[in-house]
Amino acid sequence: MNALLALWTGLVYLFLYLPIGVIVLFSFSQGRVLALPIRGWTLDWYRQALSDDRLRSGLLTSLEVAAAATGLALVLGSLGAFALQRYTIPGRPALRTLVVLPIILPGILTGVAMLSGFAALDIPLGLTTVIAGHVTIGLPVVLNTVAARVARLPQSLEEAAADLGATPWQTFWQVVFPNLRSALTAGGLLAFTLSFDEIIVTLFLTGEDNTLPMEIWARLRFGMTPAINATVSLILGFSLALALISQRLALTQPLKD
Amino acid sequence: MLGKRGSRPAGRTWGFWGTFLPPFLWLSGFYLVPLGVLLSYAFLRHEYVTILPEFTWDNFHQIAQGVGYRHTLLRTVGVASLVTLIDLILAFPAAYCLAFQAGRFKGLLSLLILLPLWSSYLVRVFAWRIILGTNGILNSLLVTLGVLEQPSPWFLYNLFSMTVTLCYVWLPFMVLPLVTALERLPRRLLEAAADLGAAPWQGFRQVTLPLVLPGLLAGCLSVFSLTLGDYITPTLIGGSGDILVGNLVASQFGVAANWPLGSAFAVLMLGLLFTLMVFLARRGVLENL
Amino acid sequence: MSSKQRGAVGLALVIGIALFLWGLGGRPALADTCTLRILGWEGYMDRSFVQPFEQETGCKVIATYAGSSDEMYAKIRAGKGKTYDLVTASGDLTKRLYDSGLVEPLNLSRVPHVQDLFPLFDKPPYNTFAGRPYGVSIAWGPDFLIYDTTAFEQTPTSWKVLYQPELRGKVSLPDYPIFTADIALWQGTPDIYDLDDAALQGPIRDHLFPLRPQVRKFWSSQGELAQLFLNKEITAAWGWPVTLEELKRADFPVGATIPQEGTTGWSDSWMLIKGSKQADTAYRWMNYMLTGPAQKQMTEVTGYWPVSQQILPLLSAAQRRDWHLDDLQDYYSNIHFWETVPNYDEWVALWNDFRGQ
Repeated sequence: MNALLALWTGLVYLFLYLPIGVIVLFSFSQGRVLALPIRGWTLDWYRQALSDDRLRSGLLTSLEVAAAATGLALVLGSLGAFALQRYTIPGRPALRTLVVLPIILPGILTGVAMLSGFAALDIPLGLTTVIAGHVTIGLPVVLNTVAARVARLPQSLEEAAADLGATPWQTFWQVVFPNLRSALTAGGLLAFTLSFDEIIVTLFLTGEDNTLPMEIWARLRFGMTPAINATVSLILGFSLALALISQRLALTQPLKD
Repeated sequence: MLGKRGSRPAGRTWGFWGTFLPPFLWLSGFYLVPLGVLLSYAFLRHEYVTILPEFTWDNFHQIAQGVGYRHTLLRTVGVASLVTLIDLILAFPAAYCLAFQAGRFKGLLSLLILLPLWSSYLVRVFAWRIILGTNGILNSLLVTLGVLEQPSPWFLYNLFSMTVTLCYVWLPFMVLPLVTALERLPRRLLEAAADLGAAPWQGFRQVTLPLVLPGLLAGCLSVFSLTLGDYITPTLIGGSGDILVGNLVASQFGVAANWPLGSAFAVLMLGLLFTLMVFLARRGVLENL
Repeated sequence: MSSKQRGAVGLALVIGIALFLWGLGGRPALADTCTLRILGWEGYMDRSFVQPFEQETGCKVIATYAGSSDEMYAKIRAGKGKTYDLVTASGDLTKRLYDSGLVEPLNLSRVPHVQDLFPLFDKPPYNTFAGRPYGVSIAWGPDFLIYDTTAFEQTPTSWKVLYQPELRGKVSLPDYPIFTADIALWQGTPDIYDLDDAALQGPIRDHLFPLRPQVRKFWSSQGELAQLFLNKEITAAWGWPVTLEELKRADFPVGATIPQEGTTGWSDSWMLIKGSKQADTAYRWMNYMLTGPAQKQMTEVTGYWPVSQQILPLLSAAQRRDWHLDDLQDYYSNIHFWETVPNYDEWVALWNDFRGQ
């Protein structure tokens, strides 16, 4: 039974990583056409990707957008999580539903709704509107993660700190925050990831600056080359390395959670 | 003890809104009000290059009359349900394995579920073209193995390729809530069930399943909703007739500039999801997303 | 932690957000620098001729490609004229932009090279409205029947080959409602851009719908069409010279023809978006694009056909013949150029029905 389960899990991971293997494989392929047979191997696409200004600026824009959106989502999301977990007021369930709407309803609705809203107010589209879109998606993600943690955090902890004469600032930074750190990291990481790869909402809200997915979308339509594969492979390599490092660090520390 | 939380309802309300106001304002301004604006478009008339501010049911009539529109709506719900089901079947055993048998690799393996999301959704979708295409990897393999005499066009640009790709891209969104839900299971309860002589299957059905149900349904809702709103995978991988309702909304807004008709489709999408949510909200699904 | 104190934390966070937003506002506004933002078809803003312009003027050209006239229209409308300065509008878009009040009338004295345009492209009906010029011609061309020569023993003579059972699942068509006009053309309809609901839902529908099973994939960019040929997914398509050029460069066995029914085509114009703060740069760009070298580079990249006589001395006799520059008037008059369709919503409805049936 357990072996069967492990086999199934192995197959699921194979399914998840097969296309990624294909992407990496074709980043070394000599021809421009992304189909078999592969005629030869080359590192040229990596050279091209590294010297491609549009890909680079797209990557930078994506990182900026994701950082900004994650920062805002973290702040707004944790405030929301706190309010909803720590205060019982009438109508709380309704508000709880309301704040998660942006991740329940499909991204395309968020995209066209925000587009209609910005159009109604005559707000020009650009990176600011894209960030606004990504915050709207990231906020509920952070909120849910943090709320789950806050729910498990005994309220008596804060009360004890207050009773012992801690200022609210001290209470927050020395009692609450350390306990939320893992939830904030997890929520922030997820929000960042979603923003970094977002295309469905971005397509409707973007101006002339391209995020990396927008640049890739343009190239998918107007001439895909393995340089895209090379870029994606590089990003994947970096994130894999980061993930492994963070994993090692986490393993050497005693886990509190 | 003045000012201590919970001592007076008024103070409680003040404290709540003091904290909740920023996220509330954000979501109202950037999401709820725009959603309202969007929905109101559904009842306006579009003519040539202008949107006439007069109330009409025309857009819904159009949808009801168009054979293509009706088929597209049905196709979308069908594909979204199928993708949700397949992903659930794929994800549940894997999540179970991760939660209970992965041991010290649990963290790493969970991370590996999230990691594909870092490699560009678009390129991952595109990779399936390389795999399934006429000159693709699957065809080459089958021809080399002698299963096929010549490459077949049957793997790409149809409902099959679209379903496979959708299952693939949304799978992490099913696995993650399941892992979280399974992790939260009190082990002692499972052990108690076993001690009391419950067969593994009984224990699973009567103890595990009810407890993970909110997480499971949350995963299902995510995958269903993500598929419902996707228009990029159908564009890249679907065949000549395999458009989904997302394509119709996207094309009315991004291409045809007929916002009222696009909004009418959005209203239908919203209606369907709200109906689902009413059923799911009671089971505590929304907290598990 | 009391509610008051909690409020203080909240306030601190709000100040944090405000600072953050303020930082965002610090991004340099594009309008302050000399940057020309062009929305257009692929190939019209190629680096090969953009670079000399940038060096000459010190301005930067930011190109955004769009896959269809409709996409351009939607983008300009969504941006309320604040996102782009220029658009490369085909004949099915020019009047729509004018009717929507999204474009500025032009002062042609600021584009001196317009006097070198072939007479056909000087103040043509597709970019002149109420007697005033709203556009400067860029290029033009026909819609070809493009085919894989290994799949056809001889050149197809009729568009109706696309209905043949052997081509089932082997055809690619553009994902444009304007393609409906081609169906009308094959049926011998006199005015193919003026189709009422009865025609659309009757004969046009009857001849359009059988094409669906023939189509492997609808294309929405020429690069996509080229990929479909290169990956051996299709053997015949409705497409543009630019795809033909790309396939030739890739040594693909490709042929292109205009079948006996004739064909549709397009004439594109630069149009200035209303409210653009870069009108000066836009005029310089339009003028630059009419110079001989720019026209030549543009035609080489896109395979589209030139509009300015300044290109003539730079061409060989064979090139002049290929582009029909010697019998321009005759050739041009045989192509049914895209026009703005007044009942376009009905065309789109039919097209959606066709796609989703």
